[in-house]
Amino acid sequence: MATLGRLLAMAAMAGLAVSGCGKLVGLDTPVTPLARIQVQVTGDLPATARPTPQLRVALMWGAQWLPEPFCVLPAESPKAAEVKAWGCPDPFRFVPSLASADIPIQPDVTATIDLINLPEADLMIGDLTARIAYASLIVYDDINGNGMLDLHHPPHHQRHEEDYNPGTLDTRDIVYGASFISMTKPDQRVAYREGAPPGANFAFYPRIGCPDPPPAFSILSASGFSVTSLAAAVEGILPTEDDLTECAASTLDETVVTIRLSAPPADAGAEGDAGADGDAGADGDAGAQDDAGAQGEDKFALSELACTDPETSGTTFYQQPPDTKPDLNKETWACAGFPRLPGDTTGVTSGQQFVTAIASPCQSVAHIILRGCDNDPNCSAPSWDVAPPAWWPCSTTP
Amino acid sequence: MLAWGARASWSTATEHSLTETVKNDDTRLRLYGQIQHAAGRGLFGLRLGVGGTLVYEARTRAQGARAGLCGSDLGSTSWAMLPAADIEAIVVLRIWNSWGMSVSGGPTVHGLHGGARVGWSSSLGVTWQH
Repeated sequence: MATLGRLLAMAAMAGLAVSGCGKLVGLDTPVTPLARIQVQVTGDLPATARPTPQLRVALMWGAQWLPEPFCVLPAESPKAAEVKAWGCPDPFRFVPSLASADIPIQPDVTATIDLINLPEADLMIGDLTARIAYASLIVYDDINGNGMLDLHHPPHHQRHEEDYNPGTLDTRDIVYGASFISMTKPDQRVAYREGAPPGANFAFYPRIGCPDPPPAFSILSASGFSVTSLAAAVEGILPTEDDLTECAASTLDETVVTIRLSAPPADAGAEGDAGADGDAGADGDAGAQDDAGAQGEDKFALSELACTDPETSGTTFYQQPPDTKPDLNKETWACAGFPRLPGDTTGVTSGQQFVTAIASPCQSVAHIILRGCDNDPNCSAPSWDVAPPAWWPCSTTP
Repeated sequence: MLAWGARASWSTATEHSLTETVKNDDTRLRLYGQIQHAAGRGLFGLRLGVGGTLVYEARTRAQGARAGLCGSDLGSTSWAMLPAADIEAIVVLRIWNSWGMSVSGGPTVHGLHGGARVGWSSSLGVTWQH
C-alpha cells in the first residue's frame, strides 16, 4: 500500500511538472501605458514649411509661471509699450515645462500617444490632497531630427548664461500648432488630477465657470476668456470663460484631440527682429498700446510654445550696461521707471532703467541699470555702480 | 549510504522596475536521492532532486492605481508549474540531541518557455533527526 502511495505521489508530481497554468512574464513584458491619448492634426502646412517636414507631436506638461511686473503693468510711454509688445510673452500663454511623450504624426491620421509615466510632483500644482497638472499637445517640425521638441529660454539672467544655448534658425524646431496655446484662446488640454478638485480660487491655468476636472487623466475643453477680462485678473479676480457651453471634460477613450496646423508669422523668432518692423504704439495713445500687445502676442504665440523659463517667479533680473554700444536705431528700447505692484510696500526705486526687447529665440526684456544688484536695483551693497556710458539715453538721476 | 525522499520548500521574491512590480511565490516540490556519509557529529551528502516548481506571479503596474487603471491594465496574476532539477551539496551538523543545523547549496535548472534557466539555490536550516 505504501508503495502504491509513493507511485501515485510521483505520478502527480510528474504531471504537475509538465503542465502549465499560465504564462509567466516577469519584468520582460511590454510596458502598459498609464494613459493613451488620441490626437489628430488637421489642415495644411504653410507654404513656408520644409518640403519634407518631420512632423511630430509632443505631450508637454505646463509650468506655473508669473510674468515680470514690467510686462503686467500698463506701459508708461509709447516706447515702453513697444518694448512690451515685442519683449513680453503673452501673460496668459501656456508655458511648457517638460515633455512626457513625443511621437511622429501625419496630417489627418489619428495617432496615439502612450503615456508611460505620471507627471512628476514638481509638475503638479497643489498639495498632496488636491493637485493637478495640465499638458498641451504641441505639433512641430523636428528641424534637427533629434526626436524631441527643443525648449529654449530667454537669456535674461546671468546664472543661466553658462548653459544657455539659443540655437540657430537652422536648428530650431518650428511649432505649427497646439491644443492649448493660451488661456485667451479655445483649448483642449490634457489634465491629470489627484485628490480633491482644485478650489474656486485655484489659479493654475484656471477655467472659472467650467466643471471640475475628473480624477486621473482627462481631456478638458474650454472657450478661453477674452482680453477684456484681463483687467479683473490684474485685480486678483480670475476671469470667467467666455462661453461656458464649450466647457467639457471627457475620458481619453472618447476624445480625439484635434490640432489645426497654423502658419507661424514668417519673422517670428527671427534673429534680432524685435521691433524691426514694429511701429506699434508709436502714436502713443492707449488704444495703440493695447494693439501693440495684441500684435506681439499673436505674432509669437506659436514660437513661444518652444520657450520655457527657468525663472517662474516673475522676478526681474537686472544687468549692468554692456561693453559694446547697442544699436539704438535698430533695437526696440525705452527708458522706463521701476514698476511697482499694488500692495508693494518696500518702497519705490527711483531713477530710470534702460529696457530693450529680445524676441529670439524667446521673448524677454533686458533691464539695464547703472547701479544695483542682480535682482534688486535698490540693494544696499550694489554689485555694480558704473558711470553712464556715452550711449546711455536715460536719466542718470538716482 | 543512500537515502531518498520528498521535499517541499517555499520562497518569495519581489522585483521592481520603473514601470512594474512583480512578486513571485515559488513552491519547490522535489523527489530526491541522496548520497551521504556520516562523520562524527556531522553528515555530508550530495542530493539530486527532480520535480517541479509551482510559481505564482503577481504583476502590478507601478502608479497604475493613481492613474485610474483597472482590471488587467492595473495588474495580473498567473500560475505555472515548471519542471525542475537540482543538485545540492549538504552538510548537517548535530548540535544538541536530535537538533542540529544544515547548510546546502547547488545549481538548479528550470524549464521555461521551451528553454532552460539555470540558477543557484542555497539554504541554511535547523534540522531534527530521529
